[in-house]
Amino acid sequence: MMTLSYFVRSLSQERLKFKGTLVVWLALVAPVFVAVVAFMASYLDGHNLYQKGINPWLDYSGHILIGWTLFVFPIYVSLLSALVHAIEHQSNTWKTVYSLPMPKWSIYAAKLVLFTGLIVFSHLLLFGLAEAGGYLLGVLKPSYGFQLFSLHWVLAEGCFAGLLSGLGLCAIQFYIGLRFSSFIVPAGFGLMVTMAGAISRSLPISRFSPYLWPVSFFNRSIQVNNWQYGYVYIGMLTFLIGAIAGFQMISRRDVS
Amino acid sequence: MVPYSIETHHLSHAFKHRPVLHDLNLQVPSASIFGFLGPNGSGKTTTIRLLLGLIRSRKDAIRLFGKDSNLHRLEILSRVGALIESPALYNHLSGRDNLEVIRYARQVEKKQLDQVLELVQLTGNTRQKVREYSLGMRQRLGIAMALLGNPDLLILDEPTNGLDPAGIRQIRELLVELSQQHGKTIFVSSHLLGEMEKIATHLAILNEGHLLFQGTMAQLQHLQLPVLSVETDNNQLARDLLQRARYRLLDHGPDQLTISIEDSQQIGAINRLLMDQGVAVYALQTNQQTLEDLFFTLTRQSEAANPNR
Repeated sequence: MMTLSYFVRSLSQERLKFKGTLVVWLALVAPVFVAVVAFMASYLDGHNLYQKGINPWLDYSGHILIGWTLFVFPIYVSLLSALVHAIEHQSNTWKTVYSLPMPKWSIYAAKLVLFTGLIVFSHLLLFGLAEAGGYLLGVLKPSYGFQLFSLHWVLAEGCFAGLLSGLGLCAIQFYIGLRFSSFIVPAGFGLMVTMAGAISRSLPISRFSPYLWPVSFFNRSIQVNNWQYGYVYIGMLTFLIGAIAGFQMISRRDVS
Repeated sequence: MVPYSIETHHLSHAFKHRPVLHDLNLQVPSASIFGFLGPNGSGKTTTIRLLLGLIRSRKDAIRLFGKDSNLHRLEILSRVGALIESPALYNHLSGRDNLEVIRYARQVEKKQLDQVLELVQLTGNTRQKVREYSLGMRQRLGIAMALLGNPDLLILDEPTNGLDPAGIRQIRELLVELSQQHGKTIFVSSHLLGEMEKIATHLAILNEGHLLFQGTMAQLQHLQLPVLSVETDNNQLARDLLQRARYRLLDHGPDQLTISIEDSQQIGAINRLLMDQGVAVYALQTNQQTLEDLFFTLTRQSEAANPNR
């Protein structure tokens, strides 16, 4: 009971600390950006993209999921990790946090849960916006045929599996953000690795980069049969290992 | 009530093999105002960080309220309010929201926010973002955060930093009131000796990580030997004569001749010595050594005893 009380109070503290920061805005803007770009591209150039009798949701969902997982998701997580940890690092408030009667695990768990929760929220929003965009295209551009087909389950599963495959990069970024007090380290590292991954995507070695696991999961296809579920498991395992490593680090760290 | 709110046993600490604290044995009596004095870099803040568990210490080196700080961290911290160096505040939040963050941890009623804000006289615009606060307002908010939850022990690191004279006086009165009327133990670090002299019941003096003195103000005053100020027609010659006769001269500048004495017979002896050597003595005046003089005497004695430190 006490454990739950500590965790709930830590969550309330962390939620309050987000007030007035760009953290929540970033979680909103990232999926909105991808959905708006995909919608505008489809709306303006749909007659070249979609053929009669073929489900337009396939290409449309593919653009959203690949665009999200290849670039926006890793960059968004890099910036989010830097922003979330800057709240404590910039004001040097770790000494305040650790001199309060709260267990270190509850402080750490609350930060990790809110960070991951925001990423989950962004994926839910991405799914919702993708569905809404397709529906709107069906209304505004009936010639593309969005109103005749659907791909709800595949889109939902793609969003969810992309999220799970990306948990590895989330844990790595969370660790780096916690470890280094400079904003530039987690943000810069994430951006560099994302860029490097995009350039070397076709090389076999790229499958070892957690920053490419979400996009590698789709195996260049929107067909469920081609999807590589191994990346989901390795993403979840990396998250677990990263979360434990992060806790080990903060529980042994002296606050100077 | 345990006799000591804070006890350290042979507490030492080093940063990357550089020792900063040596064998510190502190005993802070409950309900006292304990002045923790020392120049900048003497190890005061390191000691405070160790007390609060921000820096790890060996088992049983620190006991707060009679309990090992490593084994009873949460129980101890629930009874401690702290202000460490300059207050660490969330600049993007308002003063009230900063207090709210502490309130969640300490599980106190919301009305306590107003009470502590009133105590530190920060009742104006508490919705204002902390980044717009003056140094004094930040310090007041830091003290309010330490007071929230009515802790039994307050650990305050230079609490009057950045406050104007009226603010310093107000905080001084608040600390005395908290100790005398509410039985709180207050551990205050400072490099302002005069400030401590006005409020502390007990003192410890730290220099380069070594404890030079620990005891009550009365015990410290016993160490304060009287000093004799001498005016002559040739202070330089008088200084040389007195040094040769092994009198302890205090450093009050080249124009002033001040000597630490043990009894009034020495005044006559000094007068005779100077007169016999042809130095005209215009005035002899005895005073009590100030705390500041004593502090420098203690630190100089420590440095002289350990020149390689």
